[in-house]
Amino acid sequence: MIKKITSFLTIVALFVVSSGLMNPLVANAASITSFTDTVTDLTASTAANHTIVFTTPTGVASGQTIILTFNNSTSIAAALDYTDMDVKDDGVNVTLAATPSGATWGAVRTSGTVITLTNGTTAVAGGSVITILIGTHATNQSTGVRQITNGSAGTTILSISGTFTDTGSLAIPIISNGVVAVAATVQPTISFTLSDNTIYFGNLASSGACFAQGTDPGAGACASSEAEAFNMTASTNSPGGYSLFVQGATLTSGGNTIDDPDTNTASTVGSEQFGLRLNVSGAGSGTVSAPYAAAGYAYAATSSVSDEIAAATAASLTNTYSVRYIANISPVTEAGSYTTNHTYVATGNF
Amino acid sequence: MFTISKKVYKHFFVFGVFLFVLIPISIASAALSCSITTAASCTDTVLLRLSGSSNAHAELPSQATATYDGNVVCCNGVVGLGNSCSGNYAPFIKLSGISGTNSHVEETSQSNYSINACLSSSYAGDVITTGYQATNCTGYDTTLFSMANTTTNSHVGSPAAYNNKVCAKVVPQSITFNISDSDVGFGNLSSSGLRYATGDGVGSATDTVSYTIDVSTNAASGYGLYVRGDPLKNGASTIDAIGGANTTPSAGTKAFGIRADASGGVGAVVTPYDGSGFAYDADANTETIVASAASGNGVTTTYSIHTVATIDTLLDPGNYSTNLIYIVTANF
Repeated sequence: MIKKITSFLTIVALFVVSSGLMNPLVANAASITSFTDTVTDLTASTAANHTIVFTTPTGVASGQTIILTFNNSTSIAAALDYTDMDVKDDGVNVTLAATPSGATWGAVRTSGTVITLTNGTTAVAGGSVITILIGTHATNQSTGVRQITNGSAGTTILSISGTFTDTGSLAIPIISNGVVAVAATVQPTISFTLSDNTIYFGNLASSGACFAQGTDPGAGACASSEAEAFNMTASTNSPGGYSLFVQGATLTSGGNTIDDPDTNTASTVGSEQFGLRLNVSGAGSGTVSAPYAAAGYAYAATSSVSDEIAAATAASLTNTYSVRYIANISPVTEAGSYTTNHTYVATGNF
Repeated sequence: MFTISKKVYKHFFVFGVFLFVLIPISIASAALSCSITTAASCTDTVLLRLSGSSNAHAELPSQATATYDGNVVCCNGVVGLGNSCSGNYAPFIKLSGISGTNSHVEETSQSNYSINACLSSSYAGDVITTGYQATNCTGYDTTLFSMANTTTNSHVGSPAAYNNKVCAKVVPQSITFNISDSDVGFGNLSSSGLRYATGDGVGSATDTVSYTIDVSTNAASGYGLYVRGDPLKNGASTIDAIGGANTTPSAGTKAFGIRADASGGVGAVVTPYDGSGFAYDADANTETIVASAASGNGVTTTYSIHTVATIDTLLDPGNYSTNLIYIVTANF
């Protein structure tokens, strides 16, 4: 009888074992998928924003928790709270508070490495995409002001767990310096040219104005029509632009000089007059300064005092200044050879 | 049932001591490493306890039979290692004893026994693999122990005891990221030509690599490499970013951009940074993706970053600079 009972129990036991009825029930939590954490700066010991995204296969039932755990000496700001976070279910923000209530989720910093989210009463469906913003880019209910400080250089693991049963982990590369500093220098520049260094009036006369030109008109002649004596070009990247100056005496022969009115004056045939005016062209922003901009002529500089003839008030592309010189004499102007040297100067206003 | 004579026990004890002396203490490393040691000396994770180093029975780590204290499978080398049969785990053997002690073992593919012994990780992303091989555990990280018989109803022993090896491997999630240089420079920019940033800060008139970025991961869905930061600035003066179209900038027109070449691994440069020209479509608040990998195979891809700038003739003089912040986001 005992043998029979033993045999029966053995058969039952074998059946139970072989049928798998005694296999332990292993609750395999689902793994979250498409799990990413975009950290705004991966430099060690640097505060950064986190944008954590994952898909929950199971969903999040009412009252269930999602726990974020960082390692590698990551430090969640002590005062970080729900106002520094946004949580989205399939892209739609949920309302956060310190504790869950009704449909409102709870969001708290549990420790320096742990944040716990607790769902309210609205279940998150399985397959939903959960997005969690932590840091200054969280703007739903308020703009976040606190961040998470990275740990030391190496791999930081962010683990997702909680009573919602899905789990996952993600490796974040923390490096000693994730920033590349790029430097460059822009040198100050200014260009200035003169087309000619010697100009000629020729033979001055009281019967008509003479205009200087680049070539000597020869004995007894002068150019009676206004023409360009020479031109200057100027440009600069100076934020304050540039100024062009002229300095030098009027036409002089020993102790004799040709009068040079300071104000813009039309040609005074038969009376002494020495002066110049300028026309400007080109893509730059330079302009001719008074009294040299009008149709008449002027000369307000001396051998010891310069006078501004043109300027640009900002960085300027190239301008060409066409310079026209006039000379008139009276019948009693002393005979002689009249000359002068005019020094032109360009000054950048850096 | 199975019995062991006193004499056999004595031999096993001597052999066990011999093994204990000869087997070097495992050193924590990046890979799973297991060895047979005593319960008292194992400060890491015990996966299984053996009644001896050969011809032995097994019990779960949760058991505490004194005669099993001399031979435990002690493992380390992986952060978060455990012996739980929940969460992220893989069973490596089944035990015959219902209470988890004094057991014969069988392979996990068999269904004669019901008690699993497991290798686990507290990190859900770690990939745990166990298996059985003859002779050695090539392809795995370590040998846990060996089985006298294959498949089922087997005694166990130290890794060297039998030809049938029980093997395990844990591949932790990994991602590496390195930037070769954190300071580069163009030197003096010119409106008459293009200038390329170099690591020595002097710059070059010919296209050259400014710095390199290495990225690797075993994330199944790969990674993205992003950059964020303004173009070169000096106060309110800006050298304009080229934008989102790959372009070779014209000398004399303000432009700042990058391009990248990839070598090694499975990563690839993303448009618009993959052409022969340059682009830059980010600012201080908005990232742009420079490169990505659709999968992760753990092999490093090196990205060579070229950086170009040119200016117009009106740009304010001064020192221009920017900080480019590179980030890598793995998709596990």
